[in-house]
Amino acid sequence: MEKKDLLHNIQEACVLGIQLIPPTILCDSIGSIGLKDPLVVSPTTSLSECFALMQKHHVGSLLITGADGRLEGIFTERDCLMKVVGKLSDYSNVAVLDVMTKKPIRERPEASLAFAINLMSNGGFRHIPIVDQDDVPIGIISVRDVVDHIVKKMLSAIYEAVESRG
Amino acid sequence: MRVVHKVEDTVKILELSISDDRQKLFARVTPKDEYDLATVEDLVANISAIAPAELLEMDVIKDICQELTHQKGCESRRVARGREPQTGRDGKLVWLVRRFRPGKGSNEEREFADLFTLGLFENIEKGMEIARIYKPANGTAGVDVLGKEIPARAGKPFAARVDKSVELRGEPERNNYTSVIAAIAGYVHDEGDKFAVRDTLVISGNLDWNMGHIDFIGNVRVSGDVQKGFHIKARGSIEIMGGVLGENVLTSQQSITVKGFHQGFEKSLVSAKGDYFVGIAHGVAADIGGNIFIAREARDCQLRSGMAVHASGAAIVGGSVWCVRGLEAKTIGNEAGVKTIIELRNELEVTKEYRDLSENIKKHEAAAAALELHIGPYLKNRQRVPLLKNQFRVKIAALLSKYDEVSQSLERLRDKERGMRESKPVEGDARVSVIGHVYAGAELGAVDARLPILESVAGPVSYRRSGAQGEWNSEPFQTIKRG
Repeated sequence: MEKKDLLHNIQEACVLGIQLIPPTILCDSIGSIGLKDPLVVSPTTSLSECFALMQKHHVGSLLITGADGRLEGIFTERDCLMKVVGKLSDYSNVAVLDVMTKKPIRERPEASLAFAINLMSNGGFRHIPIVDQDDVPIGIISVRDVVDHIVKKMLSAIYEAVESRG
Repeated sequence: MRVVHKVEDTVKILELSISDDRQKLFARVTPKDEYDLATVEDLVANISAIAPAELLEMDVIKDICQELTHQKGCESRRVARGREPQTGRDGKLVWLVRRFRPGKGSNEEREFADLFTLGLFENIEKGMEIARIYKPANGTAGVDVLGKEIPARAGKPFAARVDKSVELRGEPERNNYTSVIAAIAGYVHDEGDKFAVRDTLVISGNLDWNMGHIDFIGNVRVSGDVQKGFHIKARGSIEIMGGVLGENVLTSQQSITVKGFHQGFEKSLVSAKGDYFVGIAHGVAADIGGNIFIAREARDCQLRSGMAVHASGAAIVGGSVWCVRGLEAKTIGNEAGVKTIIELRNELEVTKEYRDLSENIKKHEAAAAALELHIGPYLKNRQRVPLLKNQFRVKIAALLSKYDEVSQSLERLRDKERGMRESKPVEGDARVSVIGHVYAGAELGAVDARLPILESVAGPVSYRRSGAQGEWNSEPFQTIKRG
């Protein structure tokens, strides 16, 4: 849909009183928005390896797990900015364990999107690791994923409204 | 235990025994009479001849050595220990969405305080990933006390039972899990280790506080009643085996069936793209794209059907019925002469858009009437307004301006309504057929032709518009075709 058509359809939907964002969207579970597989490294991984991984996969965060696979920490762009840049020089000799955020807030995939957004807002973070019943990471959700999901739902509501009007 | 190694030198006799599970090595040391210095290195060398050095328990060996220097031996001390193999983690199932577990969990667990929206299930679109089955891990190999590797046992795979409503999709080279994908739209039904997506949500009992409002992607079936104030929205059909007790909104993309009594009135609405079947309807407002089927009675209802109304065994008493292809009823009105309006309309007039437009016109008319009351004689005698005293003049002028605004808007709305009415003709074949009686007080209408029934007429009889003016005429009874 082109921008011009999209705007037109949004205006028309507003006039007709069609709900562009379904009210139940926040009740959707985190798992339903399509979890991305997380990038996982061990605590002893060097910072230079971490940076290479993040650059290669175009991601802004890494999860750190122990030998048993349980989540131990998260290393994000923010950690990089606050704890690494200008403070450390030799990235190959520093383990991610020393700069990661330990015991990050994590959530289960069945939790609601509303709860995840609330966590992000209260905690001021952009990524939430998603773990299974054994605390093993199975995905990661970012603010961008949430926004993408809302936009996807909004567009499908517009398409549905346009289709039903012929 | 069995002896696996024996060494004798000038200091001691060392006998090494291995346990039955091959995980422990025990030393039996007997000092010799000759005096010679026992060293740890000697002992380690003796034991290392059969056990890997990294498995030796150095503290024990040092202790044995110290005892030897005091000419003391030992009977059975553990000097080496193997590593047990670590069994791999079992395969596991991780749900990504909420499952339908009616009546389970407290409100705190549900994360909701609003009892109308309990969120007990989640709408699952076709193709959505609902769960993952993780493969078992291989485990870590162990080693016995003599250095021989003991292979680890892998974890048990998760035994998944699936039906046709889900697909298992995996990319073994990329991921260590298999995705469970919904093959149909619906909700995830909790059946232990069995995966199932159901496209029909069955409420076994009443729809009440235990369930809350329903907004479901598939069909909904309520075995009992829909309690007052609860709403159902479904992409599929809605079937209610009991009654609907009032203030309910039922919306379906397909058909709606209410087998029992459907109480309408305040804040209630029925809207379906398909058909609407009802046993007894009282005060129901319905916008139905398909046919309306009434089994016993429709009293004081506002029924709009995009096709026909079939009530050959039912009475239609009070209210109004708009239909495109006609109506068949047992009786229309009652002996008390209650006003019952049956109108044949075109396809556009029975739509929600037209209904909203009519509502809007009514609101405008009410506003205009209220303004007329306030303005009084100055409405027709506007030239007297400038003669009024200051404050009163300003007030009346403002009311007149508002009245003009409302009148113009009303005119525009009426033009639009007229356009909708005239853009499509009423179906020529449409008729109103009555098997029993049409009572006085009933009124048949279509476009501008109206037929008030002044005296009761016994059926079977049909009414149809004919002639150049489209006036109503009675004719022999003809049934309304279904479909």
